[in-house]
Amino acid sequence: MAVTTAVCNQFKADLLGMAVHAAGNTYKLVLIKNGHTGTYGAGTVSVGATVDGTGTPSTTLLGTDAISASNSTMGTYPVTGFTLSGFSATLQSTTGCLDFTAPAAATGTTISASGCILYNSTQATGKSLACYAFSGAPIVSTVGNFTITFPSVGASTSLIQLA
Amino acid sequence: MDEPLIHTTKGNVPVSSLVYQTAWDIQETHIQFVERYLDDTGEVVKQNAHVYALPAAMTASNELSEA
Repeated sequence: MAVTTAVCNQFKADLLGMAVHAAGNTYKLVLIKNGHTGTYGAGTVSVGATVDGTGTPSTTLLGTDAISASNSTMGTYPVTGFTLSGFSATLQSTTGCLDFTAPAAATGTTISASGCILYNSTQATGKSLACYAFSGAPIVSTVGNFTITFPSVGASTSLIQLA
Repeated sequence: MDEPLIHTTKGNVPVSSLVYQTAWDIQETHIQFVERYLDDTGEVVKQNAHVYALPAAMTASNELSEA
C-alpha cells in the first residue's frame, strides 16, 4: 500500500464548512509504520477517535498502521503522535499557508516509518489535514532519536499551501 | 576521565568502539539525514533519523475569464 503526500480532500470540505478546525485546537503529527496495510493520501478522512495501534486501517482509522508498542520501541514517541505547537495561518503573497513549529525529537526510539499524517485531535474522529509520504526506503531509527523538521513559512515551502 | 558510553542495541558501550557514519537521502517527498553507529562487526547498533518533511499543496481557482 502507498502513502502519498497530499492535502486531504475532507480537509478542503472542512475549510469551506468553516466550522471544523480552529487555531486553538490540538494538532498532531502521527507516524505511519513501514509495512502498513492502509492507503494514505488525499482520500484519508481521519485517523480515528482513538489512536492506539488497534483496529483495521481504513480511510477513517489509522489502526494497526500506527507506530505502537506492538511494532516499535516507542521511547518518548507517543502512539497518538507528536503534539504540534505554533499554529500559524498566514498569507504569503497570494498563497494561504498553514505551518507549525517542529516538535522536539523523540528519543530512545526504534521506529520504521513510511509517512505521517497531520490531524486535528480536538475533533472526535481525529480529522486529517494532510498526509506526507517518505518515499523510497522507510525512515528508520534504532535505539536513537527520531526527528521531524518542518519547512519554513513561504508560498512554496509551507507545510500546507492553498494557492 | 572515564570514557563516555553510548546506549545501543548491545547496551551501553564505549563510544570510541563504534564507527560513526552519516548519510543524506534526498527524495521527492522528504529529505533524510541519518546518523549511524556500527560495531566492529559492521552491525548498526544505533541510528538517529532526522526527516525534513516537504509540503503538501492544494489549489483553488479564484479567477474566471470570459472569452
